[in-house]
Amino acid sequence: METNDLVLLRRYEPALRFTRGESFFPMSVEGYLAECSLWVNYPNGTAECLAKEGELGVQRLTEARAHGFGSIYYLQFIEKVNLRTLAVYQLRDTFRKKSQEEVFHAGSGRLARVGFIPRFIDALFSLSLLARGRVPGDYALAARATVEKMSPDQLLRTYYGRVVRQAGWVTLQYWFFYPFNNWRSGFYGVNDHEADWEMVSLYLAENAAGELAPEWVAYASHDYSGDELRRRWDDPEVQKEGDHPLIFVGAGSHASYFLPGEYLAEIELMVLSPLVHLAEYVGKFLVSLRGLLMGKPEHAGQTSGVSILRVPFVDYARGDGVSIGPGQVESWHKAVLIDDHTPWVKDYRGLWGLLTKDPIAGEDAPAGPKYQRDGAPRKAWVDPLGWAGLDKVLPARRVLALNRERQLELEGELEQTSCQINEKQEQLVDLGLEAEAMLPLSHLRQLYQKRQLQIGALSGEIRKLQERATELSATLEALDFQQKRLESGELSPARAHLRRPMQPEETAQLRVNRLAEFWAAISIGIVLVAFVALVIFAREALLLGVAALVGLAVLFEALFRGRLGDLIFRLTVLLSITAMLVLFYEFFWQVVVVSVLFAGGYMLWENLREIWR
Amino acid sequence: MSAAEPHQIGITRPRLLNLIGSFLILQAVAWLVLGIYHFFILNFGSTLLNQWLVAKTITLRSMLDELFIQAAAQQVLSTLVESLVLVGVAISGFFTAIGFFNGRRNAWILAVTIQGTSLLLGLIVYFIKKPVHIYLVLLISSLMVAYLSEDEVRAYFKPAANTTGSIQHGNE
Repeated sequence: METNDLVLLRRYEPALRFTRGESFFPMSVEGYLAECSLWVNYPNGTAECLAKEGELGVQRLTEARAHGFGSIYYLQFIEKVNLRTLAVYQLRDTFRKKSQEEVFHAGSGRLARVGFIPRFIDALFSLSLLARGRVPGDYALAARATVEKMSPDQLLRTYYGRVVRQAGWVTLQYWFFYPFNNWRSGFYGVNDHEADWEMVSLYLAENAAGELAPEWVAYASHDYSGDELRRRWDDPEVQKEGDHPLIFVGAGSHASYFLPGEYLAEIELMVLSPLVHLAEYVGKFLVSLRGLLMGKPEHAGQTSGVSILRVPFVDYARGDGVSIGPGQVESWHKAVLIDDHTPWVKDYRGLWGLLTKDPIAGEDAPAGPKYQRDGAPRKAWVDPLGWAGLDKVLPARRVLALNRERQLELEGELEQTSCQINEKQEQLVDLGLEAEAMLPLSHLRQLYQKRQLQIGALSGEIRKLQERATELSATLEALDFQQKRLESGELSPARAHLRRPMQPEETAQLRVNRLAEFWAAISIGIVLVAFVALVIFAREALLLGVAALVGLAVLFEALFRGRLGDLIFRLTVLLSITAMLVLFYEFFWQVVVVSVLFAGGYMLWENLREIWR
Repeated sequence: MSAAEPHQIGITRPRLLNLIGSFLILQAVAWLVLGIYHFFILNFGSTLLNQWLVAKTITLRSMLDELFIQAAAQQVLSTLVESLVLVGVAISGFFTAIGFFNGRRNAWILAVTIQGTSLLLGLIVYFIKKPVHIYLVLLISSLMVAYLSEDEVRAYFKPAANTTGSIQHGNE
């Protein structure tokens, strides 16, 4: 079974394409552990070394330990940072000739792609790094230096595969381990942390010929799960190298994407969550209101697409760098089978890198494939189908048989319901007959009222049964239509389950002019300095000054980002709403009188027209 | 396609486009009349008119003298500014109306700007003086804005905007 599983994993193993400038690639856990020490952090904040670097292997890692509630185990990849060694390394690295794949150019700055408020929130986020626990700035460099010193055996391109058979599906999970995540320091991203676990899943089922074939593929996008993660195998967005899915890996973050490009990632800060939700609620309300006023009620509930209170970052998944896998420049050297019984998967619940005690947890290292940072099992591990929203989806071949089964069940229920309706209608007729007979007899008044109540109750029951029968008929019609489609080999739309699929930024949006970039870089600083100047030199006109400052900032923002037209339009609409409120206030009673007169006149006209016909 | 070029072929011309263009012309005329009224009738102009009626010679020097005297009294300065703004808006309005009739792409944003300026001036005048005629200005401009906001009209004058796709990104 194990050999078969490995063969299956190899047959569909993914190909990874990285972005130029990426420094860290999938490696083996043994190679990583050889460079780590193991620590425990106690609830009182002190830490103790349990195994020094060089003493740690898989066996030592998985020894049973009992350090009490609140203790957190973690690995430390970078030991003491020798600044002199680092400086020499940095100098050497700066002047050595680099290949194209090692050089990263950011292109249009991330800050130029978003508005003023997200940039302000970003500034706060950056400042917060001073207060939060974080991976020290030189760690990424030290990690690169450490990786470069590792032996070739330690750096063999390795993935960890897991096979799960469940509910007619065969799930192939591919886990990739990276020694370091340098999204923040290397690619202007959210965070840095030691160690990084990433995963993609393939979902296979038996086809008509009785062979296992892929039907769905799902790429992990950090903590997200559900329908948005998966694509059907025949979706044009799923790029492949033969039978091997192609993954575009985010630079530094190592997130997996279906298409190459740059993805604007928006991080919600927990402390701003209430404001974010309020802003989204207000945005939805305004979009719905606008839709209703324009006679488009289908706009109700839609988001405005504005997320001004989230911090913007770019995930560069260009796929123009190193590539690993079938049909790529490098190939996979090792495929290792893991499961619930693999010792380092099952027995080690700690973090795979440095514990920084970051309250947002962005800078803390992740736990292993099976666990979350808090030691609870990961959903992707315990419920691989539910994680990708496949718990409600059947394999294609089973759909036909189950569709027919369900049709038969519902036909039976419909028949039963129809019989019940007939029976109850006969009872209703009997009761009606009795009630009618009692009508002329005044002494039977009470009995008559009782019969009326019974008639009412029975009518209600019949109505409910008829509603159920209508539902069943409609459902059977849909199942019948599906049966015909399936029998003819027709598939439903591949992307019907997606509501907000991840898409890279379009090329047109990436073309931000130099002026806009310059403004994006300096705007926050200028506004803060101007505010301080106002407070110091013009405190008596502070409110007016702040209003003027905000107005100017908004104007320059719109001007440099080519959105002056939008700004003028929105301001005009705002003025128009104000004018209408003024008119309503000034002419309230006149408006009421005219409305009532108009309504009266209209009703009169309609009623008269009816008589004259 | 540049901002000055006509709209794309194949997009139907919304109804009432000519009517709105006509309203823009009427609005421009109204602003022009208002500008003239402010300047000539309210203040400096009345003095000149009087001089002319009593056959006094109006020279450039006498006009400038009058201007400085009135400016010193801070009467004509504000009137001059008001009048110049109103005349400026009127002229923009005329060109915008022509652009509207011809379906020029930048006519829409100019029309919106004119209405915005009209509303801003109207609201300022409302909060300072509350003249009777200002309510009509506010009403007409608001109705024009409502019509200019319609998707049909916007699509006629400019292509649909692209939206940015973005993902929510949790963090491990």
